[in-house]
Amino acid sequence: MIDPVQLNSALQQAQQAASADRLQSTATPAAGGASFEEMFSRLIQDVDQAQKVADDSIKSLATGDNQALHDVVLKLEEADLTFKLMKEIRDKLVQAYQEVISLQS
Amino acid sequence: MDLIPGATTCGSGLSAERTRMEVAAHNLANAHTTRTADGQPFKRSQVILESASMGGDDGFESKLAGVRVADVIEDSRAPKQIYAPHHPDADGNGMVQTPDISPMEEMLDMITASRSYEANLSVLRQGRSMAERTIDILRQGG
Repeated sequence: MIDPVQLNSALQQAQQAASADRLQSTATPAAGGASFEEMFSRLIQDVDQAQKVADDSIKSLATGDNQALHDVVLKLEEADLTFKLMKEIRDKLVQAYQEVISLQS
Repeated sequence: MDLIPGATTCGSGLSAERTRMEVAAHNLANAHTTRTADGQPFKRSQVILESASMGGDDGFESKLAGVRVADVIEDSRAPKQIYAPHHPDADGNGMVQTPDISPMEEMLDMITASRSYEANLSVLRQGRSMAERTIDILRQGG
């Protein structure tokens, strides 16, 4: 019902965008914190995880293991929102990348 | 990730109201049941709810509680005596013991349960729209 997130292509885009970000700001990873790349790939993993959880709960509802409809709805909403958050962040990054590219022309 | 504020808490509320609904249905369905496994007439059930911590580690979150069904107990009301001498469960005097269940009371329980369910759903809906609108800020012109 829910397609698994395309980890590879999303990661590639994220890496491109992240390196674009670095070009723009010549920023180094914040001291003590994880790099942006790591953080974003963790976000993608979170999205993937949320989608898998939602998928599992739909499956358990359909097979009759789980009777709690609201649990399934909650998990679906959580997965939907997590995905939206990731999509918006990705859009923001791609936009930053495109702005950097257009500096060259 | 916990994006929807109050999701676990109102989830627990939804479960609790669901149980109340199930118990009301159970009582209504058995309003005329004269025999159960232990030979007694059916006894009305009642849900006991208790607050349950939602597992916050420290700070204010540990003080926020959801709700949980503590127990489903039998009502202590004595069964009603009805004169029906030809009923197979009648005693020597022709009296049959039937459960003391008032459909009106059960209806009232049902209505309060479904309204509380709706209230919890509203919390969920608001929480989701809070998170959604926050995410929308990232969008161009959002």
